Amino acid sequence: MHLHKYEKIWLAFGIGSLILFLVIVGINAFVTGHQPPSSDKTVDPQVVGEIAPFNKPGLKKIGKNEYQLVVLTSAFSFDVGTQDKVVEIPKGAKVHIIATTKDVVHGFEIAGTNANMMLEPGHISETTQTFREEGEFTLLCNEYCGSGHHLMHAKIKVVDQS
Amino acid sequence: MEKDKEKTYKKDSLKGTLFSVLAVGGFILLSWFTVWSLFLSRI
Repeated sequence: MHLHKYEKIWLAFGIGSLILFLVIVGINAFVTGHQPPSSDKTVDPQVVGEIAPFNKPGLKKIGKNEYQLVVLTSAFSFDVGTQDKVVEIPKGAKVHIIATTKDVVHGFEIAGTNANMMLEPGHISETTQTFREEGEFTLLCNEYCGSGHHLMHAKIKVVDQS
Repeated sequence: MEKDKEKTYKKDSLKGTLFSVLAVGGFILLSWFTVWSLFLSRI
């Protein structure tokens, strides 16, 4: 088979790029432990509000500068354990986020961070986020969930406590 | 007959194609690394 010199160049370029991307994704997955946020854990969405930890949503300290944030969503709100839907997190804290939904599919995105996952009824989604920068971050639903979708949001306030 | 075919084949210039393919490839690489660096900066 005859291949033009230029064809060899772009074939090598394409195959090389593919290998490079896969190696980087592989290193991210196996060395730095970056995984999809949906864990294998399941829960009955009908009674999830009575089951721990979702019976008490909110922020809980679990270690030195380490927290657990439990969020239970339903159309059209994020239950983050506070009336005003604001969660205060100390600057630099590592937060393990555990979330699920009572009804339909919702999105969970903390704008400006890597925390972004889909919440499916019956499944528990988990991700870990370290909040290094002070400021206010919007927690929003990025999966269309119904007529009140655009009203579905909460706030993460990262405060310097030192 | 075969020789004629080969001649025309050799005359074909693929410079434009090479440039277009590398331009698209370059754009894909650049956007991929931009998004990846954004992800890394937010870890």
